[in-house]
Amino acid sequence: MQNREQPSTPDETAAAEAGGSLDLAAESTRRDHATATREPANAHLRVLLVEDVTVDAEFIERELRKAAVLFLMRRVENSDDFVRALEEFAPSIVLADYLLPRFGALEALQLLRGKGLDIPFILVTGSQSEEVAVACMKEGADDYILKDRLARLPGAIANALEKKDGERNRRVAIAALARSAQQFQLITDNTHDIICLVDKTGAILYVSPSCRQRLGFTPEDIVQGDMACMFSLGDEAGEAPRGLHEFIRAGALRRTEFRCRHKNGEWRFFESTGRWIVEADGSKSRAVLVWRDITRRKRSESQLRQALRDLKNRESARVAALEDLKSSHAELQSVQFQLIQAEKMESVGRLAAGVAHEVKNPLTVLLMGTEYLRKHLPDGDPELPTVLDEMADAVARANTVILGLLDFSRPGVLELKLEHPHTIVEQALVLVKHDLTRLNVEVVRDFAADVPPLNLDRAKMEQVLVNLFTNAIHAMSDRGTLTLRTRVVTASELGTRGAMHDPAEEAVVVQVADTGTGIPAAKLLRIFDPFFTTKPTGTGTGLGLTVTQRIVDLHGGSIAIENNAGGGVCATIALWRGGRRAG
Amino acid sequence: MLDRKTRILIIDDEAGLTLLIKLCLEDTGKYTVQAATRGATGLLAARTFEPDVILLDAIMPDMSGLEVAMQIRADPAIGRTPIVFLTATVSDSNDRTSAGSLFDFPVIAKPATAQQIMDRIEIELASRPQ
Repeated sequence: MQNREQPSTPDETAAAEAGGSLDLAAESTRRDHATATREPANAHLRVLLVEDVTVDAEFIERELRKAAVLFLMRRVENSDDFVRALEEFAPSIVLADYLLPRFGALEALQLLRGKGLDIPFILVTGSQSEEVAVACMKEGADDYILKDRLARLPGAIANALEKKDGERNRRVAIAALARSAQQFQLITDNTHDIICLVDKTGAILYVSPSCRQRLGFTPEDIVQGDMACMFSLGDEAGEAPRGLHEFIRAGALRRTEFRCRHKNGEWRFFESTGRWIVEADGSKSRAVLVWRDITRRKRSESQLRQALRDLKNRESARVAALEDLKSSHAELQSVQFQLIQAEKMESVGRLAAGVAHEVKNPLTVLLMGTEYLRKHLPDGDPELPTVLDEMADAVARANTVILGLLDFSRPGVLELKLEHPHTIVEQALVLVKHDLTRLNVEVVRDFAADVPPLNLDRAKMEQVLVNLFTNAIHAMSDRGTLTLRTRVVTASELGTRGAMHDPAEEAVVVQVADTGTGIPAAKLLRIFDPFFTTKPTGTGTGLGLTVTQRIVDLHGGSIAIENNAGGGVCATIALWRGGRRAG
Repeated sequence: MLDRKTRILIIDDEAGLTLLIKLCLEDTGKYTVQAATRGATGLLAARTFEPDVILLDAIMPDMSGLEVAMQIRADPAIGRTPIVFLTATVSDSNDRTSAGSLFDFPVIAKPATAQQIMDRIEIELASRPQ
């Protein structure tokens, strides 16, 4: 029993240096086996030879060497050695003589296949008939070589290796395919999305089983069945439902949302994405569609939108309520203010009426007293008549104040007469003469010569001027200047104050300017308000300018009070030449 | 009748006023003035004094001037005597609007001068029915 392992020869090295002669398939097979064993000679073809005739074995070795094959060879003669060699030597090919005394090619082949080893098996036989060889081929041998034609051996080995390699590749490919199919099945079986394969016409070639869960239909229902009137691109009931094919043609390939009726009749919402499949020839005849069920999202969105709408409605209702509240509040404030004003007016009216009655009697006594005394004056004192005049003036002034108070609290009625404004100005000056003298106020008259007489209530206009003069005088310290200016101007020259009048209409302007302390800007807006005063408590009624404005208004005129650029205050009264306008 | 002075009755609760009117009017030498400071005494004086013109205050403590005037008008003996209201309730003697409550009686607004009063008296005398 021989068990000879043939080492590499120097020729082998040369052959290796010459680049070898086996093809890549053989090379890779050899490498696979080399990694399965610990043997280092991984560049060599590992040949297990089942042969009891040494000479034959040598012939075979010689043929292989002749073909410049790098190889390791082990020869066995019985089944035990064969099995051991399969494990230890890890051959890449088995060459077997057909008939050994106790062991034959058929037995070796069965052992080999029984071990599940997919190693090429070549029968090397002597004089046997080709029938025997064919029987071996039927048992799974890859090829057979007749011993008298050993020159064929290297080629046969190469072919067998290549064939085995091809078979192995095919098996791997089939396994990979099976794995791929299984993975595909796993994916499509377990995805929540509906995955479809459609053709150009919109016909569904495949649909994943998830359609059962999502739409209640089986894939067969969908691929074969009619799903007309189930799809709609419209978000809500906006678009009429249509058939699937039409739907696919209409745009399912775009990223789009659509709804589809579940078998139970409910609408389900999907988001569809699709992609044309580029075939090997570059054509696009099929497309993959993925439909994701977004029903829950859509419902959430819809609920969210509704909630937002509700919120907006509530917000706008709240804003409207707030606006209502604000305007009610403003109205209330205005009404309250008016009530307070009315209340004040009423109080003032009652007060004025009471005061008027109580004061007018003593005034009458005083007035008549001066009258009586004037007639009974002792001779010799030239000042006495003057004193009486002053007293009469004072009574008249006191009466004017009372009348003013009454005017203020009652609708005013004017007693209009054609009066010259300058005369009234002079008369009013007389009434404040005492104050002017006491405070050394210089009066400057700047009267225009063309000022015409106007229809005026003399007493009331005097009251207006006295009010303005008194304010001016009180605002000035010692030695101030009171400037009285009159002009005739047109409405257009008056600017906004003349806006309601014909631009050419003429007005007489009376200005009263002082060199006093001026009025703080914040208070300028309120100076005409009733009971507003800048004077210390007890010295002003807060009614003077209110009454003044009222009287000017009654005359159809206007009054403005502003600070002079150079200090002090300037009051400007404008009285229309045509007098009070109707209405 | 020529040397007979015009008789004026003044009814006003302001004593100082009635005194001054009496002084001023009698000072002219044309008038004899009697004063009453209450409505009731005024009415009595109207009947006894037989005035040519009555000056009447509108508001007095015991009765209003209007009441006094109505009672005078109701008395056939003195009912035709001209009555002039002397009042602080109007601002102007010509202001008829606020004297509505005084009907058609002539009104002199206080304060008034003696001259104004005498002018009004003369007007009343001149228009007095004979």
